[in-house]
Amino acid sequence: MVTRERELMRVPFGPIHPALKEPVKLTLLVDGEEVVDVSIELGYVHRGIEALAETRNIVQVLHLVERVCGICSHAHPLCFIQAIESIGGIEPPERALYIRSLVAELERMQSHLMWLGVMSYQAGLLTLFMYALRVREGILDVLEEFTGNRVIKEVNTIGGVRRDLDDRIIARMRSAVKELRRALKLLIEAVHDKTLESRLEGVGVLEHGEAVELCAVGPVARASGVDFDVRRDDPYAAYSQLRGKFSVIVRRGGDALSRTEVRILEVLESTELVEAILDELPQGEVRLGKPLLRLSREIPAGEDVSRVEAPRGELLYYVRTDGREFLNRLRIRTPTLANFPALMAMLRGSELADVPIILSSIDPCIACAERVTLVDAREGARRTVRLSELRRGGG
Amino acid sequence: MELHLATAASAPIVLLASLVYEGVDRKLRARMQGRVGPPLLQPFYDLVKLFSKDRIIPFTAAYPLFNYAPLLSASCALAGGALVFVVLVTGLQLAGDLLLVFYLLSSSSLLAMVGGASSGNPYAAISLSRGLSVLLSYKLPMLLSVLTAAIKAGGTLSLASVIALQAEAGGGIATLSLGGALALLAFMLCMPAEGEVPPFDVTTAKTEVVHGFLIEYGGPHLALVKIAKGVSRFSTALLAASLFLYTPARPPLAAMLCLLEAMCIAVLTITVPGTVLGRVKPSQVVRFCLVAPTSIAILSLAISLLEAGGLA
Repeated sequence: MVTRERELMRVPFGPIHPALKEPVKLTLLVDGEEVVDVSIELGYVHRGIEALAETRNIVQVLHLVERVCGICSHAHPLCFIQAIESIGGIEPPERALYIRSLVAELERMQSHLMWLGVMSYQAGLLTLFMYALRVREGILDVLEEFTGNRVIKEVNTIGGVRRDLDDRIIARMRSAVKELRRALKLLIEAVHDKTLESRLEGVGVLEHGEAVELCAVGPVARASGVDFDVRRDDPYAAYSQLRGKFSVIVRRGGDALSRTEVRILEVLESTELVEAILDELPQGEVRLGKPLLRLSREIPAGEDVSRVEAPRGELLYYVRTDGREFLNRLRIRTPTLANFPALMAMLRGSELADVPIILSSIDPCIACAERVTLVDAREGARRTVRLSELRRGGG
Repeated sequence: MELHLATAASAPIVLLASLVYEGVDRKLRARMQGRVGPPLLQPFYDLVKLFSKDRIIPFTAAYPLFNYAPLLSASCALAGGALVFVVLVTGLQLAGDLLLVFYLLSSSSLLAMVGGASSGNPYAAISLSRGLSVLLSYKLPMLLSVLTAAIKAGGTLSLASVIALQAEAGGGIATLSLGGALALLAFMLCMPAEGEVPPFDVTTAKTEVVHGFLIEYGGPHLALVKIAKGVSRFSTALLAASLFLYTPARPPLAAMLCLLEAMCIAVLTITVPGTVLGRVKPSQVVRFCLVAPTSIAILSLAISLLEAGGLA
């Protein structure tokens, strides 16, 4: 084994790497082109959001969690506000619940399209990246028209939503969704292109048993045959009324191709859902009549766990309020964090050329950091700089 | 002595043509992707910028190799391309110049990779090991198709006699016989590997090996490696044009026509696959090159030998 050890090469993958949009460090132990082992190091983008949330009142935290993720900037506040509403026993009007689901579905579409672009970029197909992002623009445009922003949508508020739909915006959404469905046909054809398919098929396989054991969530789990979707199995917002309007996409392959198929077909399902929501949109108010600050002061001390199906999978919030409009504790479990153990299992035994594809196949969204490692190239020594040293200006 | 002067004088023309092709390539690619794209002269601006920057040499690099390999690589590529151009213009008979051109262009790719790998960067090392297996797998069918053209010209390894044959016959080898057409097909199938574009860009894949052997190069070094790459991919297209698709005309005009044909070949075999295809794995590149182009090249060689035997 000693001689074998010598052939292995340690390849750093990140924290800065063109295949990564956010810093995470994978250290790959490579034998030729085969990945023998992998270790992951998180903590390069730690922003202390959970700690910060404990120093802010509920209304401020609502705007804070909106900024946890730029792609799922609706899923996070939605999950948070559901927990708050459940602690306070507040029931938002029906129309508000429909609007929450509507924005969640639009968000899912743009997230999956963005993911498709990144994925094809990893596979060296820049053209599909350009196409996917152009199609995504159509969704971002209607989101901007409705919410005033492309990314930070700020739709949720305690007891409802902040904006109401009018006929003009409903018509715009219908035409955008119709257009998207047409464009999606082209994208699906492009994904089934021979070279791209050969890069995805059989790559990064996650067996059904592993997916269950390692608690994979979202499209990653569904591509490995785990038939679970929070929208159907633990409905929130308007999903219990919309139950028959969408199906949960499940594939058994467990490879990158299955994960791609699951996501693309989920976009199609979302287009159906958006149309169903627009058809069935109930009339009425979109929020409770009371001022926001008074509502937030009325939230009693209590705790709750809330979950939603974010584009990347099950997102979970644990919230404990102190009864004086502040939070005692906020805990966020993002889908990416839940999928890291599954990622490790996928990477072991894969080819080096497949690492970027496998990594992006879980659609990672990395956000968490506290230290920097310095490597002296001449001596090969590693030294860790702590945050306190950085503050002092040392390091 | 005259040959040296002529080659030196042709080098800038080949360089210019390859840079124009790169501009066309980037523009076309952008249009196919629904983008506006850079101005046609962007490759020139890039070179000016890169040459005006400082050199950076990593502590871990093997200095002489890392420093001089880009220069040698660019010179080899320019010499190879210029030699083809000189023969096109003057019709000069040089025994074995086909092999020399082939050797120069291969050396150019090899030197760039070895220079990059001598930086001590693990990505460059992986890129070199990938690059060597890819190089071996696509150079074999390429050489076989060049030999097919040589056999057509009566077994001499001189470019001028292949050109003379085509001038006499009134058309390119590829248009005259099945063997020639197959040889051109095999040659063109290898072009994406030579040009390091998708689906065969495994040596410089950004998301896999962080630009591979290019990773530690910047400034003038990078400019030279870029020149080497651009010139050698254009020169390979020029070689294909003059070997298989020569259009009989007066020498200067014929040379211009060949440049134009080379441009078209490069667009077909580098720009288009680079835009519409994704990247495959290194093992898939080797398997593809050793199966499809190699068997076609062997077939074309066999057909050409039979045709030559039939003529004799």
